[in-house]
Amino acid sequence: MLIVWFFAAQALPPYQLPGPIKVGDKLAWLVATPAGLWHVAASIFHVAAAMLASFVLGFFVALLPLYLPVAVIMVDGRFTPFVNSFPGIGWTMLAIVWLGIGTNTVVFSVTIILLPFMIINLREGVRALDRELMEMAGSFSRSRARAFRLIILPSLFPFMFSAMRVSFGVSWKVTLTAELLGGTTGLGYLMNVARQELDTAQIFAVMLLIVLLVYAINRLLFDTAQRHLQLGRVGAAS
Amino acid sequence: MTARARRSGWLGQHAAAEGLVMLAVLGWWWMSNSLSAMVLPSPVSVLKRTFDLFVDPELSRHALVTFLRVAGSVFISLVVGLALALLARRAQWIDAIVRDRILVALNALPSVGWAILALIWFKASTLSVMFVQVMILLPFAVTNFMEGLRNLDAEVVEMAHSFTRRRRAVFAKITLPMMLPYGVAALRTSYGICWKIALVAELFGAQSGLGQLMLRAQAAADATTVLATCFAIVVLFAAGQKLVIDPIARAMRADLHQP
Amino acid sequence: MTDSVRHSAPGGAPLIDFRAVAVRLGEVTIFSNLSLSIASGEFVCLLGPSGCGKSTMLRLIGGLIDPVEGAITVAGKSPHQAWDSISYVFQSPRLVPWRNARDNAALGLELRNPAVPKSERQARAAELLRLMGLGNDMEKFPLMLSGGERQRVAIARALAVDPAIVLMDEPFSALDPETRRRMRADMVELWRTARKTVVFVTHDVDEAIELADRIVVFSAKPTRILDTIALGEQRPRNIDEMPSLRATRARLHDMFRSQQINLSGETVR
Repeated sequence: MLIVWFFAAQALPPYQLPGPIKVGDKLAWLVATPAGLWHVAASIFHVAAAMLASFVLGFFVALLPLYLPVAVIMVDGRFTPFVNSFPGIGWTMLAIVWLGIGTNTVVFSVTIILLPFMIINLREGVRALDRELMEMAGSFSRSRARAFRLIILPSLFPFMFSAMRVSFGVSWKVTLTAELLGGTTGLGYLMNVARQELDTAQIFAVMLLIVLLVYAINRLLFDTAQRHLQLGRVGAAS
Repeated sequence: MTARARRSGWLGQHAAAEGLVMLAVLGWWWMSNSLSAMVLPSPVSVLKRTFDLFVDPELSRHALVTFLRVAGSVFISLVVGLALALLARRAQWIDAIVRDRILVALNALPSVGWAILALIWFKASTLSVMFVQVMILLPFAVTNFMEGLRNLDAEVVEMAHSFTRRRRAVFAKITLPMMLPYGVAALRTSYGICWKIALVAELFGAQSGLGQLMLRAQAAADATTVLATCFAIVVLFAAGQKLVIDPIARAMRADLHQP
Repeated sequence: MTDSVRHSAPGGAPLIDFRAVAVRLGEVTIFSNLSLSIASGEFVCLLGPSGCGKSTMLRLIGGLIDPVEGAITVAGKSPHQAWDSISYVFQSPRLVPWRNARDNAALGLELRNPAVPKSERQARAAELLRLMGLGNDMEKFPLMLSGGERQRVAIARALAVDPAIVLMDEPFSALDPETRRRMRADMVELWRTARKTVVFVTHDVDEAIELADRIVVFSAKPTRILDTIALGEQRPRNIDEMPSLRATRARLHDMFRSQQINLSGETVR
């Protein structure tokens, strides 16, 4: 495939299809120079901050109906479908107006775009809560805080994990868009610059790097965490 | 009593839900009073502009174009996805390439990246928009159809072969109908995702459509139109879902359940 | 429908006391004017067909539901104040899948009294698991335990909080007959060492005869107490070898037959 790419690039003008060597150069600039690394780090920060914020918010919204049963339709029938169908770009555009161009806009819009993914996964977990276990906890204790810490929270762990995993996959794509439109740093910003300068090699390098980053983090972080999670369930004493 | 309790719970839940919506709109309206229309336009003007997007001939053209592109891209990606899935079944090595290379790469590549590349390759045109959309939708379609083919009932296919050797007849009478549920699932998923990326795809690579409209409104600091475009998308998405996708899904189900 | 007789405990101040209690769920009356008292240290079996309200009795004692008429006292207090001297064993073990046997047995104590240090919680759980014959399975997770073993962990969890009263809601009914028989024998052993007040719900006549100091027999709906039978026989009891127990068994079967009650639940026509 690399060879096909190489020869195709020879035949086409570089602004349409840059050769693998040129893209490799750009990739090296991204990961081996302070200036390049600065943008990579900025994107990682945007993704991490937005994931954390949307997780906290989503957790709160998803657990609200558990303690306030009257809020079920409010959450499942109004709030979640609305944030889920509202276009992501719209949030970015509004954030630019409200917060100006910069980190705030990127983190804010990515947070809201990720929110429905978090809520949908965590709601699934809340719905799957075992009523019998809750009653068991109630028979031993009248403390809601302890029942939450010892029963509800551990029951939700697998769902928190899948919420994080799903949002992680989405977060890179939408962070790129948000940075491109409303950021001053990050890989999306670099793409915007490259777009204006018709630097197609740079665009290729950024896309390649993102594919590699997502793959690596999925493998190193999420797959490892999942193995530990499953081990803990079945028991180490096998 | 339990039935009544459930009913009053249902009423209370709706009261709370509708209350939240009203409170949100009221809060929006109240805040818009003290803010400039460039920052937060009032709900009334946004509602009016959203209405215009469907009625005003100059604006509704954009909404229609966006809707047609979405419909077209969904259709193309379903056809190409089915073709790729069928092709992958022909040989182990094609399957490996489709599964481990094409799907992995397509799944990981971001829509903005495609949007910029499409602009460079095809200039600003409908072709460029639909290229982006198809590229994003393709992995979902292929995955669904591959799943369907994997679950294809081999015994039924064998039965068909015992009656005929015409491959096309087996495909039309057996394979295709058995793939229908997976096709519906692919349709539903693709449709939802296509609306999510419709604006991104139109942002750079188009001269018309709601994405362009939104970009121009943003450049002109016209927050009313930006918000109206967002709501128009919500409305179009829901309308298509209720009026087209759901009936198709129901029809397919009814078809399958006929004796 | 009314019980003129007071089904009182033999001697001593009652630990659990029902006075003319009525319960309604919506329009349906579960029972009315029901009186019963249970003494400290007594092993009482509530015997009756499924759906007759035996479990409702446990819920009343545990303060999970309230009577519409009458009064209930537990250790001289209202059930709402006395909940922390009670622990439950449910029909299903209700273990959490992310903790091993020892940590599951310690969970009840952790929920009820976080002031007890972890080491002591673990020690108490371990001791009870040994008593339940699970000394070698402490590290096992619920998925790796059999149905009977899981229920033993649940019993250890209930006893670890050192309750005055243990409420058991058909705890062995989901087990196979052989395991059930062994669990009953172990239950007798355990009760002789722990000496808790036990209220044990069952629809199995033999189970009640093997375990109880006193059997309270319930009718089908509308529920009333048909009889209470005191059993003074030494434990462990082998029904087939003891004529007095065989007589009790026959008496109970006659009683249910005359009431047209099939113990699996439905009224015989």
